[in-house]
Amino acid sequence: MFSLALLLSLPSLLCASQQDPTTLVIGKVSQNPKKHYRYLKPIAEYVAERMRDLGVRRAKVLMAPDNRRMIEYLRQGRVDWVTETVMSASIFAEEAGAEILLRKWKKGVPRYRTIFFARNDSGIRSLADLPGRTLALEDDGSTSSYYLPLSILIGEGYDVAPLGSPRAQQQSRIDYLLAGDEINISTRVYQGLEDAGAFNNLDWRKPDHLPELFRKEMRVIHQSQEYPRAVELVRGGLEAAVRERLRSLLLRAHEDPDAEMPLHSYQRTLRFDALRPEELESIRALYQTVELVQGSAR
Amino acid sequence: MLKRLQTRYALVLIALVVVVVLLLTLVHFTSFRSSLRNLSTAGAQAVSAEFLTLTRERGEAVADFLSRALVNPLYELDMRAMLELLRDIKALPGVERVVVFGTDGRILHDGLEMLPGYGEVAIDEAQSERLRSQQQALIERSDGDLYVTRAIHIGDDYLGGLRLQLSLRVAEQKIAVMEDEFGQLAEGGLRDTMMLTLLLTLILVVLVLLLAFFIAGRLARPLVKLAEKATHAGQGDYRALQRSGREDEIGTLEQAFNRMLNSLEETTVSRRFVETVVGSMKDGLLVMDPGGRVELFNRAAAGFFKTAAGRLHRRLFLDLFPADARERIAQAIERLGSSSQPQSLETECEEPSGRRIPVALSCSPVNIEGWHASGVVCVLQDISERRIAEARIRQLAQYDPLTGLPNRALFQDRLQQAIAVAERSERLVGVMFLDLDGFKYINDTLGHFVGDQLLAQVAVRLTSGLRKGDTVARLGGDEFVVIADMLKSYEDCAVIAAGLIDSLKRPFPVMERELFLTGSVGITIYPLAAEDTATLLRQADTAMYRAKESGKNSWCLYEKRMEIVNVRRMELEAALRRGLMNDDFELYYQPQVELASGRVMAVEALLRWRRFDAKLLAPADFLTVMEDMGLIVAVGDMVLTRACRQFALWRSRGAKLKRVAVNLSVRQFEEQDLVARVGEVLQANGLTADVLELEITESTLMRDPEQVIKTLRALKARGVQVAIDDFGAGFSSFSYLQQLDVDTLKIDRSLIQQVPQNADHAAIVVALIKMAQMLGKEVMLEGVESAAQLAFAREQGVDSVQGYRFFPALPASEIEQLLRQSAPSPGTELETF
Repeated sequence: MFSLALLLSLPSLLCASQQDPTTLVIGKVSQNPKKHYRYLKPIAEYVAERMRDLGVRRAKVLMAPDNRRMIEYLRQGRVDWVTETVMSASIFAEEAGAEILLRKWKKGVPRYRTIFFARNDSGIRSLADLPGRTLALEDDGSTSSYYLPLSILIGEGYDVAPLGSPRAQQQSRIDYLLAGDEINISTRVYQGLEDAGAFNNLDWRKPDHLPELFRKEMRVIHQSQEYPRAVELVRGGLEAAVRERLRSLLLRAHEDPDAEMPLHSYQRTLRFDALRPEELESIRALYQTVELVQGSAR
Repeated sequence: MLKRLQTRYALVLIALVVVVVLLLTLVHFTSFRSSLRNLSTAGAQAVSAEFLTLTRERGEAVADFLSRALVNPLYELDMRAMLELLRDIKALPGVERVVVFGTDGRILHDGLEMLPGYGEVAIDEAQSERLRSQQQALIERSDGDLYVTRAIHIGDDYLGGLRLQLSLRVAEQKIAVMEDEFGQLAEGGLRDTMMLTLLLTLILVVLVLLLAFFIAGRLARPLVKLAEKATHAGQGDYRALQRSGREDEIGTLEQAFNRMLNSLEETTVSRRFVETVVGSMKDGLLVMDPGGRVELFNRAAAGFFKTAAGRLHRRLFLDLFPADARERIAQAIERLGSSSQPQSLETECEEPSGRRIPVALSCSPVNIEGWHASGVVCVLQDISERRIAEARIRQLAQYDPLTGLPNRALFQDRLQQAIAVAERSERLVGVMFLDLDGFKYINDTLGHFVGDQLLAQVAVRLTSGLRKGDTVARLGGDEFVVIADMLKSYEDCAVIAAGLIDSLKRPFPVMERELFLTGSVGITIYPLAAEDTATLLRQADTAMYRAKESGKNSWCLYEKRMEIVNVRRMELEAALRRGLMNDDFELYYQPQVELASGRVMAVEALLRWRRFDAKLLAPADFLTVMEDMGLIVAVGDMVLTRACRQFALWRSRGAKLKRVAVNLSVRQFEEQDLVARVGEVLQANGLTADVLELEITESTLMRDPEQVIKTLRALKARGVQVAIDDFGAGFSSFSYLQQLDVDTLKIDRSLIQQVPQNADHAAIVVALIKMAQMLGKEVMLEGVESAAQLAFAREQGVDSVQGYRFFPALPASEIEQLLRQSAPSPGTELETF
């Protein structure tokens, strides 16, 4: 009887995924699944091939259109492994019980920060000059160009609201507009359609996000603290052996020639490393502003 | 080569064809090239126009699409969306640039992430104005690009526009490439055409070349043959040209040429012909110019002087000859000037080695055109062989070929010279006639070859025994004559004669035999006996006969009385001739008695000559003379005929004789028709061959043994009996005897005469009898005259005897009588007679 009970319990113990215990599912929030599928599939297969002894036979990509859906997936156990920026990570950790596993050197960068910028001729020198002005942000899924700027502004005590908000226009309020893309932010600021913009420091140096023509006319008026560029999470119920195997594989991946191509595809990741406790704490602390930010959008 | 007619014709034809082909090719090329270029240009223009239309339509379509797709991005200033759209459009082929501009006509987005064109003026205000009110795109073409500008409206609001720059350069490049390709195709076509044309031209040239050579050859070949023939004709070959059989002008030319050759052959002698003739002459030919220098000569002439031809030219003719010959030659040449007749002389040429060649030199005057005076043409003939032949003729005319001694003619010449010298010097000349004793017997028995060998040795002996200056000559046979001049007395001559006789004493080795000879010498002295050569020779001959008569091996001085003996011999010969004419010869028959029966079984026919004085002579008295007279064969035949006739008569009268024996002389035995003649005689008398017994002597047997054996076999084949007469007296060869098919041996009388008292003779006779008996021959003893001899014969088992003891030779009538007497009682004892 004991044996039978053990055998019956094995799938739940050994399976990496609730849907398919032999399948390791990697997930990501994406509005462009076609593009991101190509990013995720190679690294997932690389890992899955090295988990055969753990019963994993294949890898699968599952993308969610937004965080809400991803939280569901994580809760349902349909996604085992998620790669995200720190804001989404804090949300998934808090709301879906996901575990932040490792720091990801996305596009070769271990960490980044958010910067606020405005035209030189705008007269804006700091955040304090922003009230009554408009701010261009990317979209409400962006960490560095939505959550972090708004959380900073909110944290500084400024009133922020989406441009065109039905709320009564106040001189002290900072209206923000979601331009949808970094280049749109920079263009709108350059054209004077918006007074300031915010995105991460990496975008500031990218000419496709901020053409040189524009940057010459811009100045940085504020910078946030640094955050990990991206992190890897696993769902809360993921079998420990699988989780640890995943951790160890990812930590050594940059040393494995076989992982070179999968890492490159995986958003040009240079390597993975462990998060320091203060980094973890700062990520978790972000969640505290989520509600405020989301509330500002209403 | 180029001057040859065939080549020239061929080149002209080829050049003509090449020019024509080149002209045609040039025209063809020009036309073809122009057509291709026109085609290429027209094609390119058509393609270009079509391409422009297509590009324009494509540009309008793209602009139309973009004008709608860019409405929202432009309205929202969504640079990312614009970028993605413009980047996709820009990625289309032929799109050089695509920009979005705002209402102010300045670029909002240039399709590049860095926005390098941001803010640039895309269209001017005028264009902007036109664009606002126009739904269609603005089309411009500038610098190889096609610009399509299209407004972007949202509703009726003008948001800006887009400007699409489509490159026509690619198209133009493609068209250019296409033109190039057209051009290359055209060039390729031209090249192929050119190659084909060249190939065809080449083939045409080759064909024309062949044709040209063929035609030119047809024209030139007969001319070349004519030219070659003319060259040969120039060298003296006038054989007719083998005609080509053509009927055209060339055929006529060949005919004319052959007629010319015929005429030339009849009228011309070429220099080569003359040179060949002169060069082929065995005789030397030299032509002297008036200065006496050699101007012309042939190869034979150079050969006479054994000098290089180059050294002969321009040399003085006289210098070519030995110094001692020049004067005579110069005189002969000089005589030409006066007589104008050819001058001939015999002289000598001298080779550089010093050897001289006898030559006959014949010189004639010759007039050469351009010479101021006559030259001389000389012919040199080598007369060495003629000289040798003359010497040989002299030798044959004056010397005896067997002994090398002077012959009778030279002897007489020498004798005359000796007489002439003797007259001047008042000395004597001895003439010695030497005749070899017994030579005839040796010659008859051992053959002529041995005889000749012997004579040659005798000549050497005689010559070696003489003084220097004396002459030995051979007159013929075994007769030699010696001339000893400058004698003081006849005794000197006697000494010489004795020396001659003495020189013959030593044996002569001939054919592994040693032969012994003696000589008899007759001497006469000039001027004591006679003064003319003929008389002297005859006197010496007479003296020689006297020496022989006096016992041979001696010399005898001629005396006048010796002439008498000679006269007697001449009388004998005359008597013999008369006797034959008068039939004064008779046959006597000597009976042969068979000892076993005591009866006369056969008779031997013996010739007797009843001379005019009734004296009956035996053959020994006249046979030698008769043989010298050449009558022996005729007389022998007469004996055979008469004996057979007589025997047949006896037979017819009942006589019981078994056979008749007839002697055959050597000369008879040598007669070719002997066997046939014997057969005729027997047949004529109705006799069988076995009744005839032919007796031959040993000398006959030994003369030519092979022929004798042959003749004897033929006789025996007819059945004729053969006996050897006088056996034991000569040089009998017992080995031959064994081979000879003879029936009877008649042992010679000389051996029997002293038997039995002479033991040696008796022993010889006994040996002969035994030998004959052993050989199966019958034995008969001749000359049996005594009872002792008869008893000896009986004792030795002799078959028969013959001799005076029983019967002498008797006339036929007595024999008949004798036979008749004995006929009734055959076997009567001989003693009863």
